[in-house]
Amino acid sequence: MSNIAPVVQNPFRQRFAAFTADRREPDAIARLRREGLDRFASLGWPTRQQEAWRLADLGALAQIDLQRPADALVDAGTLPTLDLPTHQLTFVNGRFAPGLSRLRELPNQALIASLGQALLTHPERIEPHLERLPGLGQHPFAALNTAFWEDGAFVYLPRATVAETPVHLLFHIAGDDIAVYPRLLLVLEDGAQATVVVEYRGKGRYLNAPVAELQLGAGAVLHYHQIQEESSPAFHLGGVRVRQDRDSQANLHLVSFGGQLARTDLEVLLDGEGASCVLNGLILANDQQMGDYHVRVEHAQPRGSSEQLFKSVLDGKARSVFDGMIHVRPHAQKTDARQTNRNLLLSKQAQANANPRLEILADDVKCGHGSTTGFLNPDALFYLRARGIPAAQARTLLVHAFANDSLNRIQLTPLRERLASSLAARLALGSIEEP
Amino acid sequence: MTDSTQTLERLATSDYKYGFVTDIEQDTVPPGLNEDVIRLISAKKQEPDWLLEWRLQAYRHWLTQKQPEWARVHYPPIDYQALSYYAAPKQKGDGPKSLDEVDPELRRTYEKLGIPLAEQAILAGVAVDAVFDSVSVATSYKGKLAELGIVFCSFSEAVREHPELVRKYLGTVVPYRDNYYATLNSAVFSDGSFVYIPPGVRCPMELSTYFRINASNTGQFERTLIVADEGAYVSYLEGCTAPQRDENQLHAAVVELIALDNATIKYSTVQNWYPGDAEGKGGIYNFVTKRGLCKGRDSKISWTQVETGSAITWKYPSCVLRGENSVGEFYSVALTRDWQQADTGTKMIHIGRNTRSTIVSKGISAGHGQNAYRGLVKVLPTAENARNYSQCDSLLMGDQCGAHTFPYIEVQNPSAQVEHEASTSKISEDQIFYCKQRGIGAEDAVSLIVNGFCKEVFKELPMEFAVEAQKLIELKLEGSVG
Repeated sequence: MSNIAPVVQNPFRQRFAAFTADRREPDAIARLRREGLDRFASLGWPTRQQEAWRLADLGALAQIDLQRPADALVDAGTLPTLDLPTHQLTFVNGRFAPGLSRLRELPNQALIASLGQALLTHPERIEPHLERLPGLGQHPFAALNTAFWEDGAFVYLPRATVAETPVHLLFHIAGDDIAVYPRLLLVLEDGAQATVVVEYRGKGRYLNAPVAELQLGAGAVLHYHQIQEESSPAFHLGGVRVRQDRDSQANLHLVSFGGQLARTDLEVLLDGEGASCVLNGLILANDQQMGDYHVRVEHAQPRGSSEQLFKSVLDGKARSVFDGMIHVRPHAQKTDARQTNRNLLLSKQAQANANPRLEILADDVKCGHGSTTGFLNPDALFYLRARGIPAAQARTLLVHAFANDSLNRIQLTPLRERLASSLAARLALGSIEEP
Repeated sequence: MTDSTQTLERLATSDYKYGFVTDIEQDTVPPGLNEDVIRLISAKKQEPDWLLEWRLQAYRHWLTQKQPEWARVHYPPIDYQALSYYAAPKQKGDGPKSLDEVDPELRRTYEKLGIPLAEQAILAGVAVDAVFDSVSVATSYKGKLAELGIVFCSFSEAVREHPELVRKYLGTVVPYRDNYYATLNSAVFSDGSFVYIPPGVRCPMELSTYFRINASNTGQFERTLIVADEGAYVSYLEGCTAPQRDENQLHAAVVELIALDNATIKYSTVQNWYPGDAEGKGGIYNFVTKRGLCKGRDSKISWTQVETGSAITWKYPSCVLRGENSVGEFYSVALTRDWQQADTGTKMIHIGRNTRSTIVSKGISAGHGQNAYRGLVKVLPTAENARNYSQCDSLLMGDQCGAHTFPYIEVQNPSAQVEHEASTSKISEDQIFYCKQRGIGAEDAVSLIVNGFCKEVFKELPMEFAVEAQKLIELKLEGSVG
């Protein structure tokens, strides 16, 4: 399109030819890749003139000549663990690392594997689901992911299967000036239940542009956690799309700690009667970091419910964006949707942007949203100080309380505790002072 | 639901009461827009060279602009060359010396609208500057206001009589480059009102203007400028009704308010332009730029609007809070029914220390109406201790309409406190049942509930206006109970 500089567009086209030359894949997958590349070409590199990218500064990223990563070695000892048995799949620079992965016994017919392997053994389970979810159509980095994903995770649970053991997916990136496009496809058939923890982390200055597709059949239950702790010079531009059938329940927790620019576009389609979702997001940012959640909840069927709580704690020159949309289609009556955004500014240079939006085309609905931005409540500070707690400590206490309110919603105890201590360590780096 | 829905529908289909055409001779410029048309408008109004130059600059800038498309409204492209940019009622001699000399046809029009121009004006204590299409035809109470040094006249007159004031303030709040429609207005504006309140004067009456669009295919481009000098106070009312027509008419006004130290401006609007018929045919496109500048410390600007008309409303009365401790307020009721579309809201730009703003927006959608609140609250790093409270509520009547909320909140100062809340709901069957149980009919119950819903905004209107607004909402919602 007109607004893409040729220098940006051409390398992706050229790389695509090199990238696909030696891949042995079903025709359907190869076609999806080409469509992804074409979609990226027509969307173009995002500019600040586009409403959806108005606040994101991709200038620094555009300057980098992004390469395909080389293989890297990672010391297993440095990888984060959950203090409980898990099915673990580890990916280094977007490629499956069997040595760092461990699968436990699975319920009958269930499948947890790398996407590349599963495509060889069970293509019939993947092809009907991959790239089938609407949404993220306007997201150029999701289009790039569709064109360039190398590997990723495939989680499949058949009808009425409950996976007691959580699935732990680790995506580690090491290197400079590389782009990695991890992919996750999760399919829960009717009545299946799963708990998934996805962790993104790495070393160096790179672009991580993951896409996760989560499909919930009727009555399925999913607890999904996405922990973003990229290296501080990294760019994280991800997409998560969810489709929920009748009476399914999705609990999504997104935590964003790392990266210089970290954005996740999340789209949830409530496509069956009585489907419900809880979306819970936290951004902690300091220095020049920018954290960004673009959320769209699409109520397509009656009696759905959705609840969003997105919080950010900003210090230094950090910025946050919350762009949330609740869209209620004309016949999605009896919808109950709630959206809350709270931002805590700890410094004079920090900036919070909130666009909590509602588009409601049905009349018998209950929809509301609220957004607040400010420093700590002076009354609460006074209350603590009146009880002999020094000012600095009182502030720390209140900041922790604000952030932990979000983390406390995570039911997976070992993960919650690890995140709480990570949060404490990050907050301790900058002292909380009166701005 | 059923019988009350029927009542609602019956009410919603009631005819536009003010749909009639006044038959008087018009002095109209042929359709089309180019530099010559602008020179002609300027010449007809005997404007000084600087103003013509300003218009031409705006026009040249407009040529480089594209029509904005971000609003949640849909309409076919406007052919700006098919519009006529100037229409003035022909006058006998040099124009009316008193109200009695005003064209009787015109007077009858206003009487049908219930506007207290003559006797009513005196009884109601209202000075009316009636704009019939583009030229001010009657101005009352001028003498009384002149004693206090207040200038309240048509814009063209202000250009002639007080060029220094106009030149000093015109375009300082809404520059001619501001946006597509404001730029167009700057190039071709026809007339409007000008108000200047000298230091320390409290304007003793509500100043009021009724705008009317009459001639077919005339875009109406008013320009209003209100300046409240140090310590001054003024309350200004603007009311609009327009006759029934099948073609869409463009209305792109610009209103600029300037409040100096300790000054207060209260600007109230009841907008009831022709909304189009039940099939969505015809109606006014209301693309308006309204902005106030709280220039001085402790100044205050308050916008109150009741938007019930127009096929499309695109309007964001805003406040730039530059002065320390200045206050901005926005109270709005927007009603859409049939195929009306409204995309309206406000911008509160906090620049000065201790600035405060309040936003209360109530949207009511019925029929196929689409109602969107779009607003910006921006707190700049200099706005220490800024405070904002926003509340946006939507009421849906019927399952074909839509209610949308698009707030933008940008906070760059941690001492700021910014809150936004919104809710969307319909009138519950429980509420209706409760009223019916106490002998209140479904229709009256809805009217009661809607009025309660709008009360926070209506109470900000001057008394006579509040009554009118309440009646207007009732009239508009006749038959849309649900």
